[in-house]
Amino acid sequence: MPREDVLAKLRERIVRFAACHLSRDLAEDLAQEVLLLLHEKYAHLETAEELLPLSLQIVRFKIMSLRRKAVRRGEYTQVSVTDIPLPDLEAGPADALERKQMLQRLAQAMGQVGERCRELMRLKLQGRDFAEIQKALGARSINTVYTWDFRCRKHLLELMGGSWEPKP
Amino acid sequence: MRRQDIEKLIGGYGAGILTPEEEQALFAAALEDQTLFDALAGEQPLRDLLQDPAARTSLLAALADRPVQWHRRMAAWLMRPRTLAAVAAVLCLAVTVSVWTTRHRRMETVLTARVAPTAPVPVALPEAAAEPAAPPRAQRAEAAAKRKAEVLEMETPPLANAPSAGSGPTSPGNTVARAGGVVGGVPQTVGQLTPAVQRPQASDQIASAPPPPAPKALPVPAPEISPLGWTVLRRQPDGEFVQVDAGSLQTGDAVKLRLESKDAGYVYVVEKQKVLAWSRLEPDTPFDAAIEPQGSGRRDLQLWFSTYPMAWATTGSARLEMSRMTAGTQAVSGVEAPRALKVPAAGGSAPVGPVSIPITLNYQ
Repeated sequence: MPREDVLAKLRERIVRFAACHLSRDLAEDLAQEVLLLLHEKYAHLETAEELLPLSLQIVRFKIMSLRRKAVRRGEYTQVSVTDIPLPDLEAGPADALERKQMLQRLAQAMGQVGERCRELMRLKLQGRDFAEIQKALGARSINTVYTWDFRCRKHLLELMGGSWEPKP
Repeated sequence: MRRQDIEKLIGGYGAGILTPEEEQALFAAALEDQTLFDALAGEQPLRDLLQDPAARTSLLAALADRPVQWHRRMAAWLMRPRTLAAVAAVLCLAVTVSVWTTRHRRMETVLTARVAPTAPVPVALPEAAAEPAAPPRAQRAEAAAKRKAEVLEMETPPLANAPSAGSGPTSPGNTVARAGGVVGGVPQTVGQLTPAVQRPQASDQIASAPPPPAPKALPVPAPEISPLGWTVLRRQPDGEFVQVDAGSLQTGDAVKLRLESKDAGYVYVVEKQKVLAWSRLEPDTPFDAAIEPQGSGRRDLQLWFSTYPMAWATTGSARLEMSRMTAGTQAVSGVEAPRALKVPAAGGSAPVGPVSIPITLNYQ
């Protein structure tokens, strides 16, 4: 798929996703900023496998930044695009605290899942792909491993309250 | 790859373990499907976290540090060689003790009777000798009515253990085979009953009698054992019970033992360690003891007859013992003991110790 097509589809998806969390105008602006960033700083990326994860990461950081700014300023109205700085991808103190809290919640939730899920997560954290996990767990097919992982993820997400991040 | 399988790759995206082919399929589908895209966006925080090697190490440590559950610790402890050896030793010891106890109990299932001494026999003086020996029937009936509410404490201590059933000395005076109505079995007496005439108490009374014209002490009559007759009855198809021979029973027959005595007393039907039935016997009033049917073979029963009530108890060694009932006697082992009665029994004669009659029922 050409890069322009990937970016067009990405914009559409980002706008719809952000519209669920922000206002429509903010969602449009957010998508525009993401695409601008991809165009200016990541012009060398071509494929969807490269662009999509990066765009998701940028969207997440921007949404977090918008929320913090709104809370800090007490502004719950629209913010001018010019006031939104380019995101700093380095983790700040607030990010570090959020990561620490998320890590604690995740470790606590992992202690409550079943033995097979624990083993599956252990293998995933070791960086094994699904084919290697299939061999390690003795599953008949890789689809079985997909199903096991899907259920374990769902259970883990339920234990964490439905979201990896604490809800604002 | 099917759509359902693509959705299941989201967990791999969060952990960053997807192969290039899986990523291509997932992202291509996410660009076309907003739901999948939203799911991927929701997975991004986890992906960002797990991209940090320190976070991965921390989570791996958390997975490894999970406390082992108690049943797993118990299973691990049980599988240790020392524990297995100890458990095996305890099991062997328990089996040995169980086998030994079972055999020991079988050997001790001998029925023993502990016979209490009879109550002091009143020495009859000449005037008393002239009195009628037996009270009238109405008087006996009245006495029987009072017996249920009357408890007499008999404080005489046990005399001696009686020989086992069937092995005791048989006294011609004490053994009476019922004439007529007795189908089988030879009554026997158990217990040293004849010394009643040699009782020191009685001798003292005699000796303390005034000199002439002291009345001449009458010889204490030897206690007379009440005769006990028994008949085996078998139920016929029409429901009636008909007298049959004890050796000609069939398996499953409903059988009754009809017990009769010419004297009042108590009769007990005992099998091994169990009192199957007991009753107060009135003269010329038979008592039917139902015998529960069992399989084929021989059943050895023991009939006990006494003019006074006996208490049955199972001792610690599973030995069934009987003794003369006193006011403090308690019924045990589910055997309801009869109430203590006044002694002597009806008729004024000396109380009669237990008489044992073995009966063998042969089921073919």
